[in-house]
Amino acid sequence: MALEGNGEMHNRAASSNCIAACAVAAVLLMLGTDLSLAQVTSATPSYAEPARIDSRLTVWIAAQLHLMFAAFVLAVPMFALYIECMGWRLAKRDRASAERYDWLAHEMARLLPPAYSLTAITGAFLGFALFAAYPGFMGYMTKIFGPTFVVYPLFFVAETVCLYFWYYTWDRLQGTRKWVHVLLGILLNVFGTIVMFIADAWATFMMTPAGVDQAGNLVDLYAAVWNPGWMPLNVHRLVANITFGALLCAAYAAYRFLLAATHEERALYDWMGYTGNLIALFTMLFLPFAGYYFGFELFAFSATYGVTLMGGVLSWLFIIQAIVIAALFIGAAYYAWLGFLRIPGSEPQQRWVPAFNIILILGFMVWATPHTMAASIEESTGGFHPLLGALGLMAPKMIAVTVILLVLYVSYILYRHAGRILTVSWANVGSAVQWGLIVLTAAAIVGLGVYGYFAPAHIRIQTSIWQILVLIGGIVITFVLDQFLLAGARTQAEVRWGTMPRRGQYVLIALAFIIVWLMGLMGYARSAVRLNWHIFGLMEDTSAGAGLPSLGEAAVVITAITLIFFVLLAVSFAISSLSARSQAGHAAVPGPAAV
Amino acid sequence: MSVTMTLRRAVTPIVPALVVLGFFVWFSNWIPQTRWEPPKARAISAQMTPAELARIGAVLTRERGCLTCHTIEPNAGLKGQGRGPNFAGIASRRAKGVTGGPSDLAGYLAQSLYEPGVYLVEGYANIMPASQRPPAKLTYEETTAVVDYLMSLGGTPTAKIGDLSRPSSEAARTPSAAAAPTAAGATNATALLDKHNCLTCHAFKTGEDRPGPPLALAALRENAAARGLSLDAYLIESIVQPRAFVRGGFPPDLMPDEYGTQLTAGDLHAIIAYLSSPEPKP
Repeated sequence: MALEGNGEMHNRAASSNCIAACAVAAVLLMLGTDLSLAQVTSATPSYAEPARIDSRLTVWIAAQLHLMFAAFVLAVPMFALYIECMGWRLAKRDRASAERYDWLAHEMARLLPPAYSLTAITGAFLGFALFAAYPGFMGYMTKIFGPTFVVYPLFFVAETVCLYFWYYTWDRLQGTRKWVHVLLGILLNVFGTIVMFIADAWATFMMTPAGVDQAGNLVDLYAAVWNPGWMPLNVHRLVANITFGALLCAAYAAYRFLLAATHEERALYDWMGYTGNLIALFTMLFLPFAGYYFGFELFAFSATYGVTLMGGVLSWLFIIQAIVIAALFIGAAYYAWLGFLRIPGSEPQQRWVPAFNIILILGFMVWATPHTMAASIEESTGGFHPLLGALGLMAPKMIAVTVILLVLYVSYILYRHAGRILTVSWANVGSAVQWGLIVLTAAAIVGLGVYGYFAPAHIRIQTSIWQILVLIGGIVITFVLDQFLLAGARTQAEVRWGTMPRRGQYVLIALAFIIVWLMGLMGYARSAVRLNWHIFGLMEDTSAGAGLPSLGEAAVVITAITLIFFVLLAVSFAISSLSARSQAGHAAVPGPAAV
Repeated sequence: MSVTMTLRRAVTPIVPALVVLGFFVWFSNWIPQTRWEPPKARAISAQMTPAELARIGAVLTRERGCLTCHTIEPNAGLKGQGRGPNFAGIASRRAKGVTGGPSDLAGYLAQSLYEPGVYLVEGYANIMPASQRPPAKLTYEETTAVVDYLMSLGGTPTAKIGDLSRPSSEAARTPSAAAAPTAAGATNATALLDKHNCLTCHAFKTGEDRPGPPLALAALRENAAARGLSLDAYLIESIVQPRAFVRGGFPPDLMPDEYGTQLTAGDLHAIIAYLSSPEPKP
């Protein structure tokens, strides 16, 4: 269906993608072969200024743009495949739902080919920029990671092939051949994840180098790849990428909702936006913990990282981060609460919204409290803040962030109950037990946090792990209970998809901009924490301007990157949507049912 | 539909998002602005007096990030709200060095900078990177200046360039200064290994069936490289904080983590010198 009448355009798009992919492969192969032959004997950097451009800024922009597009094309196939499988599972007993899920997965996948082209183009540009401006650094990296530079393009090409087959055979591989399509999707995800893991090894080696001696000579490639920061970054990126991709899909749906000409179209894109936000909210539950895991490993590698980030020159960056994440969480929760308006009979659940809002805002105020507020290098002394005192310690922050996540989860539980009447005989007792467990979870989280506040540091770390386990345990138990409680529940009225207020769509679009900006900020943090080191402790950055810009200057660059990203994405989506205009489209897809 | 109308429909939805981004940019520019610059090399001559060196040391202590963990809080006690001991009054507190380690203030301060994990003040974790390593990356002359500055906090600076010992890795590069472990030192180390039952779990040869990793020099060097540390620093960490880095599938919680408090600095030195020496072991 998607290909009819648009073969030429798609072929052209596919060929441009292949050229871009080949360009990336060529750059990496070139790095992997020619440079490995170069006699780079020590970790000594050398610099060039091609065409008199600001190399640092160019690489910063190219790397960040590439990361963003790569995150998108890595994450979307994950949940698109999951949704496709949900539809496949329903194919025999509920054909209408199966078709709807298949449409949703395909609609999300539709964003991939243009984004993939941009991933490859920005990747090639990044490769050229690095090679041209930092030949010494790239030579050294090739000396260490030469074999991975050869393997990487192979997986990249395999991912490319799977992506295009997966997307363009969507309509052909239906029915009894669906399993082949799902298999292609699985392969796409496996290759994509491997590609990311390889690239993460290079990035984390720069932060937590291992497998080399003090002079920088390679001792053990395996240790260089599996350096202390590698697996934490893999985990963090996997989770964050899904949040990122889901919010971009939700924003796309919001845009289509606002431009929709018919109610049916609005209903479908309302559902798509809801699903995107739900996936993002779910993965957001794990993001702070993935971040702490990465942070703990960095701190274990070198305490310098911890103090630079939390008590040193970058401590203010984490105030900005807390504000951005607060906007993200509160925005996503606000959209979820607005969703009550689509559900007739949800008034009992809506009463909780103001209380939740207050908890979220208070929680973020604690989270944003810095350990130290250094206004200058001279003030970076590691002591407590004179006014805010010990509120900036990890124990109160852990209470705050864990309670915030619990509130988000409870919002979701309320959403599930909105407009439904429980019919099981033990409904009252079950509800009391469920709410009792939720209160108990909150009390245990606060109790552990208070205990950790007074305990020594090594105990405090253990209590924070227990807080996470209590939260996860509480969520799992109460969710399972909820499944039984809702079994056979009577629906008062169907969800009125397509009736979401316009401000809900504006929120979804804003959330996409916020997550992109946040990703830019954290990309900067990860790089800036190395201070004047290309590879921490091994290769010093001796080029002019090896310091750090002010956070204000960094924010301007991050905003510029965010806007460039959206302009590129919008242009590529617009081009790809030209091909979709003639589709029969949504008329054939049954509207979404109640959730 | 007119072009203006189309444009308005396309742009209006992103206006709230642009307002939010505008707020982020405003906030980021509203907070205190600091540009971080890499540390600059300072001219330090051998003719400088300890007082002159102390003045340079005061600047270096701030510039190289010492005060992100340590504080200089008079009357705030040893801890002084920092992650490391309070510098205020350190010269009077450590006038006689430490038991089992250097018995003079300058020697103790130099050792604390070169090998901060050797003698850990009670209640502190082994988190400080060696001063000659990143991020501080102090030269020998700069280290002398920092030592003089610390001596000035509750005392009088006395160290001149050349008075302090050099870090062991630097000394090892000078053949004449390379200190081979003495026979007495080796005997002392083997006695210590026996006393603490180290060889119950470790073997000197690779391939022997023991619950802990082998102590063969090649294996130790390989692990140190994997950890990204010098051999000495790796051995110190492995003894004082055995769970910080475990390689090769060995149980992570088998080795007790109390040797940091049981061993004196001298004992630790003796064991490390023995393990890192190329001499044949039983």
